[in-house]
Amino acid sequence: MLVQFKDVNKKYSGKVALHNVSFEIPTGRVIGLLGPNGSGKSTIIKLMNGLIQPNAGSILIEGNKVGVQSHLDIAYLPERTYLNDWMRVRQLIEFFSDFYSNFDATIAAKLFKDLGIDLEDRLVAMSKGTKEKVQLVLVMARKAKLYILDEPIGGVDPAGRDYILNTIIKNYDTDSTLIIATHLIQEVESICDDVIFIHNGVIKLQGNVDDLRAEHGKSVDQIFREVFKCY
Amino acid sequence: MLLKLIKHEFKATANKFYPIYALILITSFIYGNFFNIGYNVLSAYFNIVPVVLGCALVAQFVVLLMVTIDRFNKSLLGDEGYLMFTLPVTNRQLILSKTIVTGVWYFITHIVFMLSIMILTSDMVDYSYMFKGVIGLNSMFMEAVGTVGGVSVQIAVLIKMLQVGVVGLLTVAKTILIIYLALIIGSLVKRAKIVGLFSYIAINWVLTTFLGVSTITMLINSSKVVGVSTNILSDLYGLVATGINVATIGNLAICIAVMELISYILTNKKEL
Repeated sequence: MLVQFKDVNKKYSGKVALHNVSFEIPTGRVIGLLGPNGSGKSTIIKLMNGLIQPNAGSILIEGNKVGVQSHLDIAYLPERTYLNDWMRVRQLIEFFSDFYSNFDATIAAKLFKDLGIDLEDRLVAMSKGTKEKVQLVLVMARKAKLYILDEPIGGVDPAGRDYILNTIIKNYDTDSTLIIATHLIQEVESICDDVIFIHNGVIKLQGNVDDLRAEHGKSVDQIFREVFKCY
Repeated sequence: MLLKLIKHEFKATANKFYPIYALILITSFIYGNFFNIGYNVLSAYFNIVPVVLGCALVAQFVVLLMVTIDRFNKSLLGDEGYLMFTLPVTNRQLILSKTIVTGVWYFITHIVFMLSIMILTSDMVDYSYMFKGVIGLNSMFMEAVGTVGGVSVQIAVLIKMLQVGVVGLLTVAKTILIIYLALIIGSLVKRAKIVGLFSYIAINWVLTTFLGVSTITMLINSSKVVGVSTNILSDLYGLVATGINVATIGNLAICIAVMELISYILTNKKEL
């Protein structure tokens, strides 16, 4: 198993964010981590990346605890803009090449060219949307074992969403696993193999997309609305 | 990976220091040269220059403090932490790289300050005479006869001089690490960031007192043996060496302890 969560609990200042969360994610799958805002999606992702620690339970990435090796194996796109404003795109490529042995600078340069982003452009002069695309390119230009994208289309207009999803699908290694956390189910339904529904820190439903559709006779989006309708 | 972190940390901070260093050195050079030959035509200009220079000299130390705080805050406690903490490096490497780079800027800032003063006072002070004096002292030192602790005076003193340099480096590292620790403590108390400032004062006071008391106690104990043996030089050397040893071990222990504490808090308590 690529990712193993076992009885994971997490509290923020006494408030429960995750309660006894357990799941396993194999390799070569596209997983939709779905749930409303504040349901615990980002907490799961931060735990996978070692940005926060669980209060109880265990998290394993490829059978090992989260650490230096898992940071190399995981390509993570956070919800926020985390890049240094003073940097130029060229310097970002150099930065990622220095730290990630699986970063392909040629692919990154090609993707930036496709987007019309000059390598000498400074981040400080870019719009929020362009910065998000820059981050996406830097993440997708890595040959990682696990791609984790936290709300990659959350703040993007419908036309931009298509571009981002296409970029993700075209560039991710099919031997890898891709986790997309979002509340925009309709947009990602077609690309997901499996889904995990989470609400109030508890997993409500998980399974294969085709199986769920067959079992409920509805689209994943409709199942989502049904599962969360009382909330 | 540590070297790569250091390289990128230098790149991220260099543009904050170079302009002010350039301003200080150029202004010092112009003022130091033209003022001394009585260039009255530009007297109005020369009335402003010392003010600008004075401000710049103070500003470089303010910039140093601001960069130390700002880089740590933004890079590890702010949104940039999403990138830094997901790099394939350890938290200790992250802290160490920032401490080393800030330490280097600390020394460069002091060198620029001293250079500026030397340029400004080059007509009043004969620096070549000072350097000759140092060489003279060195000759006297080389001609000294005797042994301390089984080695020649020269080697023993040289080792201790190097150790004093190490104590200087450790003291700078300790100061930087305490600032980092205070920043983290401040970040944990979200509604009262001023806690960071108070924790800096408190940690500094506790550690300085601890180190001071330890050194004085050891020196008092060591001083009891001065004059007991027939070799007064050896006794005095032992006294000074004890002080330097305590300072080295004490500062090193504090640096390691503070770094481990920072690493622990960053791993277990930070919430990005």
